[in-house]
Amino acid sequence: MSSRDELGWAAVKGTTGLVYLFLLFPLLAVVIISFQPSKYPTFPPEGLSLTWYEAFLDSDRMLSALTNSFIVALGASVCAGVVGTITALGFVRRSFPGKNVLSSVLFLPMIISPVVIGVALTAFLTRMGMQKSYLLLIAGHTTLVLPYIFVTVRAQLYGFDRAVEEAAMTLGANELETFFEVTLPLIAPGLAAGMLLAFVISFGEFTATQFWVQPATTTAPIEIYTMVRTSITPMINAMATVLMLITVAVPLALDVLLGKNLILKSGL
Amino acid sequence: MSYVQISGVTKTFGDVRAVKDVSFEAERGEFVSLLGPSGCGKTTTLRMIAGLETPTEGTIEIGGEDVTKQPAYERDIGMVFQHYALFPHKTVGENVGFPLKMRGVDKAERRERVADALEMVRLPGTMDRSPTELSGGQQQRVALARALVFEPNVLLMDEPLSALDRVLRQQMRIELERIQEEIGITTIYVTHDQTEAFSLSDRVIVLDQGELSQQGSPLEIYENPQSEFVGEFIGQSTKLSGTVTADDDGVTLRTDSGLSLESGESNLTHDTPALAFLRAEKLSISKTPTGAANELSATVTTVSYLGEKTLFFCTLATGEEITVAEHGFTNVGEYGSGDEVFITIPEEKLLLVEDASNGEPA
Repeated sequence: MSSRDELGWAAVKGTTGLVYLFLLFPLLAVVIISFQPSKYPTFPPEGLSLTWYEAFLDSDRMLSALTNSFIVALGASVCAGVVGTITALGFVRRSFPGKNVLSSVLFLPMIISPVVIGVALTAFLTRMGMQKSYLLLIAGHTTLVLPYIFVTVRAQLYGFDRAVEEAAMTLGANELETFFEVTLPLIAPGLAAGMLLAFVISFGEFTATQFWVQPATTTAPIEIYTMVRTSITPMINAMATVLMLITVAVPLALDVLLGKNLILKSGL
Repeated sequence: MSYVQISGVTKTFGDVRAVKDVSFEAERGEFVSLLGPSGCGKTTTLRMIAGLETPTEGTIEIGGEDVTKQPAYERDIGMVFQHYALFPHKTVGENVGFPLKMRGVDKAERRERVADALEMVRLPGTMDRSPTELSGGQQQRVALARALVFEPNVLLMDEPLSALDRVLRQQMRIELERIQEEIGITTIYVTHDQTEAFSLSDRVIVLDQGELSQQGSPLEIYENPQSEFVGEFIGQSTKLSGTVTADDDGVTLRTDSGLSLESGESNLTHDTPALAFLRAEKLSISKTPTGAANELSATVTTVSYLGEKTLFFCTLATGEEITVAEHGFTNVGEYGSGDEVFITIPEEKLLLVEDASNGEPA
């Protein structure tokens, strides 16, 4: 490798490092500030305290927003998991007219701005006379995360050796038994990865969600936004830290628990 | 009525007719092979017997029951796939126990029968291992144990040895023969390998382009091919075309190139266009004329010494290429390319087949 190449490579590494620092430093700042007792952040920190975490745990609004986020993220990833798996199965294993066009349509929720999706779904459901509810939230989030599951499961199905399913059938398993005994366990890594991604995306979704919530179903990101706009309290930092922790910890914990180590191994 | 009865089965995929009006049967305990080159429809036929494909026409009966429309999981058939098709997420024991689990056999009995099955394929103590840790030959044994553990009515095998190397293939072939004889299960075996088909089978069914070409014992297929395809596909032979002359002296084939070959017995009548298949190992070669009937003079092109046999590639005086195989030949050194030699075809070993193309140019 010539010295010019080395110089170029060093520049790439340096720039990457700076970009990450720029992106991650504010997050780190939020975490540090959340442990400071003073109402206005100072630097260097004046001391450590869990004051704002106590306040956060005392706040019914905050806790209920966090619970709502959990319910919605769990509901959406499960719904999208079921629908996405069935859709991927259909697209990989069956041929039907307009398959290519339809598969592009399936990616629209990934491409179209969430604002548009948020407004459109609200307008549509209001016309239909439906109320804003958990159901609407879960349905909306399912739409948003469906492409991620479709992609991961489809990738898993492309490399699938169908002879194992045929073997199961000759050995006495009917279609349903074959699916649960053979197909599902074998596509599980892709499905799990997709569902984790879906959970994390739904948990932190703000843009479209703001159109779908009502006071009782407000999710954590919306609550933080509302608090920032109405009253500046450092409790927001505590909540933001908790939110970050959950978004990182849930997938990692599941990854280790399931023993697949998908995330840790893939370096995702 | 035979145990397995395939009647007039045709399978069409779109515009392609993969199997055309095939009928054959297998007696209880019989070992039948479907032999043919790739694309001859042998695997499709097997998959229809398994219930993995539905015939477009025709019926399949097993044990007197019409199973043509029955799904695979209701047929009670054990199948061994070409690439094993073991469940990678289950242990060896769970793989072999799978058909028992589907049949509601309780855990304790399952464990016992799985152990017995693994014993039979000589893989005891592998129950808790993952199939992915096993070698190709061992995986194939697990697949066989899994296909037999529930005592199915019929065992189907789709080129089960083709993914193994040569030495292992021979070992597994002997093993297969032992196991099949031990349990006496009706077996239908698909292969493109003549050696496998001949050494294992009671009866061989040769398929060509979706059609049944000939069926019979390995001996009948080899010694008495009934069609041009079987003559060419089985064994190594030189093909000569001509016309039969039958008179009081016997049957003679006059080849298009002007040779005259005497044949022992033949049911071909006078003036029939026919093909002669000269099996390489039935011919003999010598440096001096022996004066026998059917002696042809030729020139050696190449000598190929293979150890147990020697192949002589020669050109006849009339221009045709001919291959002679001599077994245990020790004076190879005396022959070299360009040598004049004499090739003898014993008249009782001249295989004559009616030329279905009727003398038209191919």
